[in-house]
Amino acid sequence: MRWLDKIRLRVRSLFQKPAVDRELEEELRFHLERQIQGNIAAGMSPDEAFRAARIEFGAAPRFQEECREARGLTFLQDVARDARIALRTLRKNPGFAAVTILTLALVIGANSAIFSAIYTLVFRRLPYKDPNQLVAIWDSNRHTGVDHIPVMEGSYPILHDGAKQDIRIKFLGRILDALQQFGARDVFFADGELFAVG
Amino acid sequence: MSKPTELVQGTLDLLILKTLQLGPSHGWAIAQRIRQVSNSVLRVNQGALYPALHRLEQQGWIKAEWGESENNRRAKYYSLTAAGKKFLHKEEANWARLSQAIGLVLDMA
Repeated sequence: MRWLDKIRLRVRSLFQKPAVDRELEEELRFHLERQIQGNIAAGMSPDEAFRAARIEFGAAPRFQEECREARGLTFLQDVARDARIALRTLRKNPGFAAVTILTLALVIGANSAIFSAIYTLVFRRLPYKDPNQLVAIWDSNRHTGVDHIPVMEGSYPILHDGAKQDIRIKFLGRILDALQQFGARDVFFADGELFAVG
Repeated sequence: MSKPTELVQGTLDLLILKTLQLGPSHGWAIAQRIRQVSNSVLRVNQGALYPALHRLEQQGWIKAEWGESENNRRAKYYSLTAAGKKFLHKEEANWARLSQAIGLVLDMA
């Protein structure tokens, strides 16, 4: 799991920065001490050995920085710096900043308004169990010209039970036929006769 | 940026990985080994070594563990990971190809 280890390392570098820095310092200090020992073993006096190792080690802070860079820390620091520069630039050109922010606000507002409308109307499922079993039944009256008179709304199983129990709704049986036959969601009646399904 | 060129940097990575193929080692010993094996021609300085080690660790080719050193001090030991071994084989092949090609060009005429 190479990528997992990578993420783990990066998170550690980011959130346990003092510990990581301390380890880096300890690692480099070990190197220095080992170098001094090596120099002494090669015949230098302790003073000489220390000086020689120290000279070689002169630029420690710089390459500590490079180690940090290698750990990918500076990426986030760079992002923070870019953000600061962006804010400063915006403050220097208030007119430009205002136009930009206004444009963004309008666009985002329009977008979210359209999206919430579309989402509610088209994408979101109805907040009922088995929403695809819901039906609406409409009647219309040709004499008065009134249509879309709601007869009943409910779920398919309720309608089905109603058909068995209540024969007073004379056309319920035909409604159910229409529903079954056409897979209809809306059933339109005109003057009590089946008129259209949708 | 005062970074070494791409070739030098890539070469150092290769040398480090190759050294670690012999077993886990800490930074100082890696530098020492490269120097000895190359008859003191290659001297890896810490300023290049440690950033390279941390970069290799970051890339997942090597992993680091604290352990006891030969002089009884706590030292950070690096070792090759499985992915690192594979990467080393690939890089060795690349290097052989590259040096052979350069040899061919230099032998010209």
